[in-house]
Amino acid sequence: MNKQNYQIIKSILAIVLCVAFLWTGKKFIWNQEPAEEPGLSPDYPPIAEITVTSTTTSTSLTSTTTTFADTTTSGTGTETGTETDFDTTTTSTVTSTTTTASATSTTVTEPGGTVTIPQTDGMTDAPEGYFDDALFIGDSRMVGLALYARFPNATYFASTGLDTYKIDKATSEVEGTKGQKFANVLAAKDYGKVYIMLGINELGYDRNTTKQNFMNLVSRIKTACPDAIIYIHGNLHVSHKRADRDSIVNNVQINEYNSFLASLADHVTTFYLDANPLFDAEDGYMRSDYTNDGVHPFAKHYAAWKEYLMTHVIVR
Amino acid sequence: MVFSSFDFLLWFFPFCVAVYLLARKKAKNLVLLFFSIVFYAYGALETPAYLYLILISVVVNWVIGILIGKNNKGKKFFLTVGLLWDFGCLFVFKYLDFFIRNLNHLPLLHLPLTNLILPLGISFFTFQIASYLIDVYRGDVQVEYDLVDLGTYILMFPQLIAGPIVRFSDVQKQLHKRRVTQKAFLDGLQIFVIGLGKKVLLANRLAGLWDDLQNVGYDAISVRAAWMGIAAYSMQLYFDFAGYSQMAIGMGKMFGFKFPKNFDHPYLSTTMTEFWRRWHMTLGTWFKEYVYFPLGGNRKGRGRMYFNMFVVWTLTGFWHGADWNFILWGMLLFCLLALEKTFYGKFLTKHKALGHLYMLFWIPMSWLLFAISDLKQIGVYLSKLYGYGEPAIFPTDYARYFEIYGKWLILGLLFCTALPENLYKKIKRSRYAPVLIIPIMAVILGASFYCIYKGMNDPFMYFRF
Repeated sequence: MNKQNYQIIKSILAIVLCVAFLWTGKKFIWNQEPAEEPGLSPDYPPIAEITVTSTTTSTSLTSTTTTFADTTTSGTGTETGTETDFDTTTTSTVTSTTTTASATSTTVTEPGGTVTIPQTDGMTDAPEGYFDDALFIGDSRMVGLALYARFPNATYFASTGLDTYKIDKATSEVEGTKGQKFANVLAAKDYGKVYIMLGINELGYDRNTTKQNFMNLVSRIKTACPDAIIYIHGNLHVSHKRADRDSIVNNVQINEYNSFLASLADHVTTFYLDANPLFDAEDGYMRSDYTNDGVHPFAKHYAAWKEYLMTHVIVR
Repeated sequence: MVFSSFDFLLWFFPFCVAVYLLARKKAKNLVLLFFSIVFYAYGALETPAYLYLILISVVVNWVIGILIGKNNKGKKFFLTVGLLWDFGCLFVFKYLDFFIRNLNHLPLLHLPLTNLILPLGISFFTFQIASYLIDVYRGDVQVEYDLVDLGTYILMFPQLIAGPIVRFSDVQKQLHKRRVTQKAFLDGLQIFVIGLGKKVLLANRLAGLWDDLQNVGYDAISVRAAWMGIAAYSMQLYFDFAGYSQMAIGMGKMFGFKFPKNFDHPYLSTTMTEFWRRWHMTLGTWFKEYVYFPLGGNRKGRGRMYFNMFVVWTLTGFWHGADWNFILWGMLLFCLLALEKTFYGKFLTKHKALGHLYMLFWIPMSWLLFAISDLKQIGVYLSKLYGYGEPAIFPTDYARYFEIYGKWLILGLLFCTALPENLYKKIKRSRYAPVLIIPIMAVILGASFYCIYKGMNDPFMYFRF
């Protein structure tokens, strides 16, 4: 046999072996159906679920209901009805039985995400100088607020990747507090208002520890600034594209955590804010034309957020 | 799996090298082929069909190659079939959606998109296979009858997914007979480590600035930040690609192959013509050998030469991506190259300082078209660069960016020159080499590992918001 034919036959043998290997492999080893990861599937399984969050417990009722729900009355709130500045809010009633009396916010889990209708607690426009003694604590989205829509005299403790786990290790990266630790910033002044937006960086950790951390942070702030009004800010949603490729950072997770945050509001010293309607498309995801990475709104959109903060304050 | 991941650096590559070195001479190609298939399979985990596609492609090209070699009369037919298959695959997976999207602009046409994911490295291996078939057809190389050898050539993992585009004639001899000496192995390892450093320590650091600008929105940045951004992008692109090529060349050397050089300090060029002789050199060679020369090159008159250049650069642009901005980018390069050829190319080569200034302007300008695929956004960015865009929302953003990325920009600038490489060569030749080279390598490797580790030690670190 000449060399060429020998090589050809050898090669054909190699093909046969390769095919046999792949065939047996498919038959016996890789035959399992790939596990569906919730965050990776392009379409969410239709969840028709209403999550009603009360001040103490979270009740999830799985039933087919309306897509949008009305703001519910709260125990201490003075304002009821719909929020006019949010175009996503439509007036309709929840058809399922809402058992908890002191609900603070109603969230409807859409196939895409959740629209949280914040409790307004009789908030008004901020008077002149309101934010001068305010402290803003948060992650990169707070950095953005500090950079692109700053209240000139307010204090910001913000750093990229911040969460409650590393709040004491991190240093602030924005003007005014740059390089300082949280403890120093908190002790520097008797703040009259404290805004906190944290959570998106720690969605992957043990949720109960995270929640405990957050509650500890709030009580720490209360001890340091006993007279401060504390605004807990719901985490901003992510875009559809961003949520689809992530089983952790997606709106289902964010909404679950936000409803916990909302439940911390006691409507006396602690209040809940949620700027998501400013950035969300109708399906509850951050609008894709508002962001590049699906997490951070473009710089020009922070002004609207500032405007929201200026029109949602408690004056005492 | 990318070369700069722990999966590759700590598991795949050491294991592969160990088996390769232990294997008998005759089995070495088989070992390489096996590991290359594993490498590709790992990258195609979510689209297993692509593994079959590439394997079938190899077999098809092997058969066609033999057919071309055996039939002197029908070889044109077989070459056509082979090229149709190769470029057909490339077209379907890379360009079909682009054409559908554009055809849908026509009235009454609503073709559905295929939404196919691009198979890993298809642009590279298509060009390699095609070069083999054409060379066999031309009689420049001998037909490869051994499928394992041919498969090793096409699938060899160091160059499979990001080049360099190795032509069959470059490696045919080594495929059949090569020696791995200790010296070549260690040299290869050093080249690999330096490449890794370029990728992890420079490209990945610099990448942050361009990402930041994208996230902030081009319309919100300041003029200075815009210039910093495009400079950072230019350097990131270079270190990323050159680093990757260097890693491939280093690994090739460790296995006993001599891959062609892919980058030769392109940013030191004085004309765009020179730049493209020093940037992604194997791609340039490919287009020259298989498009420009067959079309007649510059031997059929001036008009024909411009036309040939136009074809080559449009295709070069389109090869880089299926979008209009890449075509536009190719056109810009064509215009510059044609102008240089006709008017001022020689002048710039003579007056080097002017040439560098000229390139200092055109390098970032051309990469701008490469970086942004939305034509409207290109306009926004251009208006920022020249100061007639909207005022910046955060006017001192450049100071913030310089604080974060300044050191990497300066370091990057230094590494764009030939200084570090010359210094390294000097050290290697000096009698202190034994005591200096190992620490240098250890520092690069250690720092790279640290950076990769920093990016992954915390499983949730990759989203730092």
